[in-house]
Amino acid sequence: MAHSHNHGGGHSHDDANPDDDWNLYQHLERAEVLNAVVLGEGDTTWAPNATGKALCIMRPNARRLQQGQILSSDSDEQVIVKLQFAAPVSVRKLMARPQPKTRHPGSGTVGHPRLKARAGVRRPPEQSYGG
Amino acid sequence: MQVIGAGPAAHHPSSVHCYVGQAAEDLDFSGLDGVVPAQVAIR
Repeated sequence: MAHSHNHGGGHSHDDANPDDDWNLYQHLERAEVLNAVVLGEGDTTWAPNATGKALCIMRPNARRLQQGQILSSDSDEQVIVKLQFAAPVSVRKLMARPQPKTRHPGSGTVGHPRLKARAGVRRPPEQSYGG
Repeated sequence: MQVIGAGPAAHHPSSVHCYVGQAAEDLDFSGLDGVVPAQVAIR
């Protein structure tokens, strides 16, 4: 059944396992990005409790082809995305999906054929190591 | 961790570096040289 995703991330998005209410996005606390701007329209968020402009690119694998906002590097070909979770999570896969027809605001070039991405995942406080 | 892409291969990121813990928290472009990523994937 179709439903809005602005109401919370604590429910299943897996049609085969509708009772599985564990969701990675309910544990996402902050999604920051360095060296990038948000392009495009849309306000769908899969992590309603989180903040940060990198939220726009965080979406379940099943929704990877869904149109929405994107991040575009505002200077060179590198971006840094920093994710902070409120609870221990296991991130097994990351997909960086380009939008080849997106116009780069800094250089006027189209697409990011040489894009380099750096993803930072912060451990929750109970798992951090002190000096 | 597995890094996968979609769309034309020529438009995939050329590399993805993943940092965790304190290294990720303090990460910025000015201090990348001395930070060792937890995982690196190169296309």
